[in-house]
Amino acid sequence: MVPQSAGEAMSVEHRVDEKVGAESVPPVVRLLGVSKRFGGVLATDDVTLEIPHGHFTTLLGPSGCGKTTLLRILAGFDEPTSGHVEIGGRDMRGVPPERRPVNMVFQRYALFPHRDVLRNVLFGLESAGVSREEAVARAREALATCNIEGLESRRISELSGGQAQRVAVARAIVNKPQMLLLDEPLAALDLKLRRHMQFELRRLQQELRTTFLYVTHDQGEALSMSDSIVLMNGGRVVQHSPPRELYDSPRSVFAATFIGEANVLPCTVQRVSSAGLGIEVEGLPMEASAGVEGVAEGPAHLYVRPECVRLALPGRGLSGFAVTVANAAFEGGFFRYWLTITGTPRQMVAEVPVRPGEAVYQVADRLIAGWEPGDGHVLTE
Amino acid sequence: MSSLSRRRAEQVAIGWQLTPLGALLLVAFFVPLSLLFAYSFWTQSGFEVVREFTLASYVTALTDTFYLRLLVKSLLIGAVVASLSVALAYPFAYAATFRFPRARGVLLFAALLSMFTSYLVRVYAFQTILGETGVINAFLMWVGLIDAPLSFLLFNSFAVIVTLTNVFLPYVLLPIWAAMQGVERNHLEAARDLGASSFAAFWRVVVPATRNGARAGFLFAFVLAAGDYVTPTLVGGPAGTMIGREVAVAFGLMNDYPLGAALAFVLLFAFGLAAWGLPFLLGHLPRPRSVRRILGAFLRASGRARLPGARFWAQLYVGAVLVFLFAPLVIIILLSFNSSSVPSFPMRGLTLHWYESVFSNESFRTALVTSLKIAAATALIAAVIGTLAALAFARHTFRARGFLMALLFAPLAMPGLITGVAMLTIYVALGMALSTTTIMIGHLVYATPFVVLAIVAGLSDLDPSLEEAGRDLGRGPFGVFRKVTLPLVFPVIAGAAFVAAALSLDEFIITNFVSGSTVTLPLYIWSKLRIGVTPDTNAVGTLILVGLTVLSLAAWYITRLTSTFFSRGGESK
Repeated sequence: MVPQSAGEAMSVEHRVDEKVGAESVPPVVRLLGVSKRFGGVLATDDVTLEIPHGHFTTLLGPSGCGKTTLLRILAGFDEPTSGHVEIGGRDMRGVPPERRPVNMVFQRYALFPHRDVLRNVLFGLESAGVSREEAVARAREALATCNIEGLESRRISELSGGQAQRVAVARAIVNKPQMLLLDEPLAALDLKLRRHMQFELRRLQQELRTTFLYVTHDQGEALSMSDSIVLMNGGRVVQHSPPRELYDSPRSVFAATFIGEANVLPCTVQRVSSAGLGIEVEGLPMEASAGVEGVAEGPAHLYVRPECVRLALPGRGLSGFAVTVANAAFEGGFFRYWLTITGTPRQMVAEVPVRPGEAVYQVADRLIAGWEPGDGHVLTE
Repeated sequence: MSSLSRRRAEQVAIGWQLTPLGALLLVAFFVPLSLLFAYSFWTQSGFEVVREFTLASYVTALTDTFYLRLLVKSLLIGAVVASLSVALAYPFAYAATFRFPRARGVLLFAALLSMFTSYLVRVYAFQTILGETGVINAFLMWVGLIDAPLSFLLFNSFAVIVTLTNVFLPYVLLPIWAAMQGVERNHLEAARDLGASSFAAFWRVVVPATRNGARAGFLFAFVLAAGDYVTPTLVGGPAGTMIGREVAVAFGLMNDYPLGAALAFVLLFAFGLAAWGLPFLLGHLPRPRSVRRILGAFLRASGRARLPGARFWAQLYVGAVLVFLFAPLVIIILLSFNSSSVPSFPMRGLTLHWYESVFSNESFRTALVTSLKIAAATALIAAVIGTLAALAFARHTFRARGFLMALLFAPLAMPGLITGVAMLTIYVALGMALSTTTIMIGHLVYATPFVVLAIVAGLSDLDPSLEEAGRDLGRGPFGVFRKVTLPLVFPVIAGAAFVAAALSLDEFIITNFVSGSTVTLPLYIWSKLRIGVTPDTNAVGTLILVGLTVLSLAAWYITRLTSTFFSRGGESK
């Protein structure tokens, strides 16, 4: 993957700021060519990134992609091997964690077991020398904001997962950081509670208008919570876009396959025009749209989302590949079909909504699989 | 630049955290050992050491058949004791882990307690048990099984082996047990599911997984038993003497330091050879096909054989081992209340007379106060030095870390005899007077590594993100130590300090060489034993046992408290 240029990052920020209508606010975080080497491994590789003020930004990627390293560099636990880190306009070189204007919600909360709930929340205020009365008032307010009142004197070991989660967030936001760093904070919760806490965190962010930088490997979480997503792979930033754009217009095969599901087929671009592209896939000529700028004639990749694939029996007016149903599964709201393009080893997946009374295809059925020219996107990397 | 300066600050921190421990081990352990090594190449005339290189002492040590025979005999006794201990420990650890998982905590505590309950009292208890007027003979005569006391029980190699096995069994039990905790019940069940008998599952799953623990335990017991000098002195008699006793004599009555030093290093060399040779031997043991075939047949047959009441036999076994470990102590405690002045069972009557006579004894009271002072000082200093060093070991990675951690084990694995004579040598060479200070230094060398290892373990159990959270919430490195790390590991530190106090209170082997005219409780017992066992010695022994048990219980309770404390919110649910 090619590192994202600074110009691209600027354009994303510009667009996001338009949405909020706060053109003049500078980004909270500016990273320039940040690399971190652990022994022989490059955990982050020349990352250049700006994180806009007051937004919910998510660092998304598979495990080991460098997202947690990036978060720890921002928190000050790791020093980058090279590159420039700026938070709130200040160079962070040599600034220890305790003097940075950020606070962290740790993966497994890291609540102090020797302090009760209130004294956990007080910890940062005590460090800052806030007077006792003010500190207690602010701590109670933070706990209330996080919807967790009346547990002030509970021991940490007596908290449920959701409660511990809220206390961890309260302990961080009570210090009014310029940015809140959240390191997979929902990973330890069960599915239902996770869903609920996603809403809570989103609500909290919109209420506080604090910049949230959220690390997750769960793409569903990232899509549903974020204003913008920084997709990472192999220590590099692959794409930085709002969620919808990331899903609809992935700019690489990795982005297309990591966010949601995608059928990716090798193709050859034969004709480039302003109206669209003429391509050939497995010997079949078809029309497609360009997924990125600068598609030229030659080999490339075509991707189609499973929900865009249409299926029909031969001779019903649908044009496309002749396919055989290899497997079929009922998934609740839709049927999922695994298809083999006849005469090739290529596999595809189609998701077809279930409508009452509609015929269902069986394994070994021979069908035609096609899609609208606008749903087939050509990517070059 | 900044990350460089951060790295530099870290190095400075590691430096001052490790300095006290390094200084202690260097000055009080490695330098004395080096001096002892030098002595082994010198000679002595009268009280003057002649500092000229000669191999004379080694020639004596290696050619005199008296010493050679004793060396071989000691190594053999060490090997027998270590093998017996492994054989006894394996089924015990296995039963405790897999058959009685609910009693596991209690059994583990019993094993630990047996390790920390007085070495000296344990050894002399066997004198009381096995002697001609001892418990066994008295009992057998009382029930009428024999008319005259059996004399073959005491003052021979048999008595030495029984006693040493009793003393060092816990040292083998604990590493095997620790290794066994890594064996998952799943794996045993999988083996059973795949058709292995319970014995075959033990042989094929548990033994391979715990081999290293067993090896470590074996070497520990072997070295400590083969280098022992108290047991042969108290229960060995002329027939049961060992090389350790001769080393002690060379530094005592005989006053030939070079010869003693040479004997000590010959012994160390033999241990080194054994430590290197044992894994080699085990790896290259000839395993002819016939042996494998017989073993295989046995493992298959054991699947068909149904041992009735396996649970009962396991209980009986665990009970028997516990009796073996604790009976000597129980007997001493009972006898301390016996109204008769000769050890006899059943007892004639109960009395507190021996305690009165002990406490009215001026020299006992002095010894008690001395021992308590030394134990308190040792615990405090070991806790401070140990905490500092543990922080460096647990929280930083640096190039010499592994090497320095390995050095910690040197004072633990070194027979106390050699540590003791090395220290004595340097004090004599420097003309330093022996005092409570020299005793305390000896105890520190022995106890501090325990403390370091315990606190390192405690710190590694601590989630590092707790300390990061402290930094993130605005505290500098020292603030985090004071507000987060210290409160969380304090119970571990306190527990380790109690263990250090227990080790100090009970230490005899090193103390005996570096005490001069100072008398500690174990030395007081020792001086009494030279005259012959009197019932008030049992009272002193009981007092030591009570003190050690209280300290062990305190350490256990405190650390148990931490583990409930450490459970994080939301994870247990």
